[in-house]
Amino acid sequence: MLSLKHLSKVYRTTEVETTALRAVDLEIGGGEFVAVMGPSGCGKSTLLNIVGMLDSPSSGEYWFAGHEIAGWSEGQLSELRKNSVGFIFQSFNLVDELNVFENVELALLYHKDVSTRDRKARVREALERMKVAHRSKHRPQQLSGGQQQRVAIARAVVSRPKLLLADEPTGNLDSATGEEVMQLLTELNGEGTTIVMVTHSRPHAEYAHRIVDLLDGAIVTEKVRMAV
Amino acid sequence: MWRHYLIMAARSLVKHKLYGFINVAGLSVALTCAILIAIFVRDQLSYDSWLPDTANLYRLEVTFHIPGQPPFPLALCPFPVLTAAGSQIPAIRAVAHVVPEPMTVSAGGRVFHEQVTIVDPNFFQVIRLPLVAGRPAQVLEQHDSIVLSQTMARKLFGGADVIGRTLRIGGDIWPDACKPDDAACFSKSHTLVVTGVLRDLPHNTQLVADLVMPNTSQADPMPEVDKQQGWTSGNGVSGYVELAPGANPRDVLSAVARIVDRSVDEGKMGMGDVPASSIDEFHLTPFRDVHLTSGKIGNMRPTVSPAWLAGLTAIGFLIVLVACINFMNLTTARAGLRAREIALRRMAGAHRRQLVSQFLLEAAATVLVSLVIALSLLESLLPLVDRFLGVPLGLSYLGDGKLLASIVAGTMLIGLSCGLYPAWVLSRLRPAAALRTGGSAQTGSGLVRAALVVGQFAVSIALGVAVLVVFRQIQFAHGRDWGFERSDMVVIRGIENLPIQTRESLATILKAGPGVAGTALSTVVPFDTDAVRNDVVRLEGAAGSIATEIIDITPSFPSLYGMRLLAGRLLSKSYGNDVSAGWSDKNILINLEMAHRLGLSPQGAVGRRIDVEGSGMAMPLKIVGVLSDAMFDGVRSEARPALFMVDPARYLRLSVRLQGDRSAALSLIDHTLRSLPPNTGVTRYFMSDAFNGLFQEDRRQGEMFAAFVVIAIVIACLGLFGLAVFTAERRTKEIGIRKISGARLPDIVRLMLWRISAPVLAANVVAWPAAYWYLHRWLQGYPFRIALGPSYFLAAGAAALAIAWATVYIHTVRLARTSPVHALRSE
Repeated sequence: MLSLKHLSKVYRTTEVETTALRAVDLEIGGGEFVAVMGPSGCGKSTLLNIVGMLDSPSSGEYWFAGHEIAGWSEGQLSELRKNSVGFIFQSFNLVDELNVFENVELALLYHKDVSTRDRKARVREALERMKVAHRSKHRPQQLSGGQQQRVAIARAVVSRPKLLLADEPTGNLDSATGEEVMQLLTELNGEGTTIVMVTHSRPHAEYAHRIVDLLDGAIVTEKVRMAV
Repeated sequence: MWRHYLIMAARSLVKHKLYGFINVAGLSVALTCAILIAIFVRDQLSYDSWLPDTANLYRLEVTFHIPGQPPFPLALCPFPVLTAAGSQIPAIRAVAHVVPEPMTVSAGGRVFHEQVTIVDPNFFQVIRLPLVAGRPAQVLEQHDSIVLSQTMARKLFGGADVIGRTLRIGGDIWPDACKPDDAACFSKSHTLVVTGVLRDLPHNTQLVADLVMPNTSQADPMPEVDKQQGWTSGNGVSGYVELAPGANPRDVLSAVARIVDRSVDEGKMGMGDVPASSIDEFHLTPFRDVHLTSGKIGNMRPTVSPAWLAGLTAIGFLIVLVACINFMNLTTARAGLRAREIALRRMAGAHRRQLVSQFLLEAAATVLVSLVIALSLLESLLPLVDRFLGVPLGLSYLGDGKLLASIVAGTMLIGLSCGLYPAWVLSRLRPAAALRTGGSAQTGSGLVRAALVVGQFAVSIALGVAVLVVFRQIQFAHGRDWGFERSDMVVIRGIENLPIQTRESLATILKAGPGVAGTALSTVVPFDTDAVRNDVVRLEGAAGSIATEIIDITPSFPSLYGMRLLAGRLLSKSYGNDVSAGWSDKNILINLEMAHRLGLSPQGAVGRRIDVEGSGMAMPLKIVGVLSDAMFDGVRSEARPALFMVDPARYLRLSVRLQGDRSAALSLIDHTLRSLPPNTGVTRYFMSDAFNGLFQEDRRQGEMFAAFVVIAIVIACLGLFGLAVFTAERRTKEIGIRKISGARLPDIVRLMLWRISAPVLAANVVAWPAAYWYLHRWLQGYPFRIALGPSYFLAAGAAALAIAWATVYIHTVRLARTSPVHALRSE
């Protein structure tokens, strides 16, 4: 599915140079569920952003679905991203001005090949699946944290991405709701979606097939829990 | 997708009410001003464009360059010059003399005092005014014909079917046209037959044409001698020429100059041995541009200065610019708040240009909402504006598709220009960075925003300086020492239609009446000096000559007007040579300026003799007194040499000073005037009204200017307030940390005030030179002008600073008072 080869990321300001990722080699196969762990500032989020094509590496190679995409233009990346990648965040990142339905719809708005009727149908389907269809007309502020994260997941999956990136999806949730979200992710993975999840929670990481530990921008251990 | 964008735009407008209000209110008011200015300027530019076939039509105008005096530009053309040009220059197809004269018109037993336009018989063929009855070539063919406008036909005859009806016309007796005691000559009137009806002219024309009669008529008051020999007198003649297609105006003007050189001997006029064309310089102004000329004397209707229109247009642009800057600043400053939405859209695959179009759409939606509000504001304001300007501007959306289309197109253009920079900034946000900072990434260049704020303040300060200077100048001109007393003065005009004896007895009767301090007869009175004579005089025994005004007065005139005597004595009936009929050895008064020009002190001038050279005869006049300078001409004039003498044949005005029982005096005046024959057209007015009329246009322009400037400043302050609120919100955390570190309320307030002061101070650097440059030039138009001192600039700068502080202060205090714990928790 994707592979990082000797990938590094350096942030430069006029005075300091911070190495966020240091020659990372990582291969993730289709249908895998990978958890990335590590202390704050170890480069987890940078890794996720690069994998999600929101950020570009300073050096090294990034192969995605058979293409080396390190040098691709913003426009090309944008195309690839919208067809292949979905995102889930710790802080949900829902747009306050849009209601639940519209927030999910946003993910399909820029897909020219999806007709309006299809789009509405798919949004409804995603919301039903995440059990928040009854809150379609509500604004994000009117929902509980768990419901907000379900909406965010609905938005992430409505475009049927092959890869789902989750940045501490349970970080802002109580443990019961966190468990529910993990169940949902596991379900999605079971249906064939590749998942890369950054988390601080060891129990939630245990849901993954493989746990990658990062420290100071480098992979220190990789633990395979089960074969795919 | 567009629906989605619109929902987003609308909800965001509702959610951020303050910013939405600032943007929409600023843009609405700015658009209202801009549209108002646009339709006013359009109206001014539309003058005479509705008339057909004016491409080759020009007005021939003379400017006198009298040595030692500033040029004296007239909108007029000496009668014989135009006649000769028409007959001798092949490139001129036709000419038309147009002379408006105040006359008395009697019809059906009623008498009216009306402006009669006296023209060449071919007038309607040269200037193709629309006739509803009669043919252009024929209506003025007969000597006794007259053409009426529809309104005038109704006024005189009560209906439109007036062809063949008759009326009588008289009055407007020129000096020397009647013998002094020939009462029949003064009350003469002539019967004219209505031969045509003219469609009422719209307001946007340079012409006056309610009653049009041919100058071949017996009723034309201009004496034949003036038509034949008045080579250097404007005499109220507007001269229109129609050039042959392709003719070069410059060639025509050289031909006119040759005619003038052949026909006028300036040496005889005392100007020395110079070609006449160097003194009488001619211009051709295209017919459609006549309304847009300024500074020329003798226009039939008021004109407008192109500089004023340009200034007004510039203000319109500046107001819109200020509102646009608000929009750009508030939108980019708050872009951080939208970072999350933008990042999510990018992750969902939005291309940059899709984001750009979304933000442009939002900008366009905002200006369209503003436009709707602006149009409704305009609807309610237009009647007020019409009354203020005295011009029916009118705005009919359905009848004027072109205007509406250009308003909408202009508005969309404004929307795009407002939206482009924010769209560029917003669409450039990097999604990863936006999401990492939890949805409040720093966006847009703070430098650009600071520059925009500086620009906005610079505009406000420059306009503020301009308002201060303009009003001070108007006030200065208004309050300056005019050299005479104008209060409680009633002027009676039209007495030229009375026999000379009657004029004198009228003055005597009124003087004896209750509430009257005194009376005086004269050719001209202050602010009504069209009839002044200009001539050239030479000090006896001296080589050079100077040009002067000659003002004919009765001896009581200087004291009645409170003019100061600097040396010698005033004129008096008790000295025979003061009031003798002939000119020889006559005693006269001169003003200080004339004494200066003659190289004499006031005391030294008394007793000297001067020759009046214009007539070609040496006629020594003796100076018996010197008066201080009096500014009779109004706002823009300097003191000119003047000579005062007694000449009963030339009195055109009777001045009456009131004192004590005003109402008794006024009823005596009115009663006395009613007892005169009805066709004489003698009327009275207050000099103070004439005086205020002089400043009306200046004051109106000043008020309009000030109103727009205040609006610009208010809009700028609105934006500043929005920005201040936003900055303070963003700085809540910083303020909290400062408070924890020991900062007190005054420290924080001082900090915030300094932050807003920096751009204001920088703005002064931009605004002052620009304002100085423009105002220095503007003031050159006034001979008596204020000095452009630093106080105006400092005052405007200080006011801007004070307004900025007041805007920021309250909000800052409130914020600085919040508990630091709350402040720190806000992030």
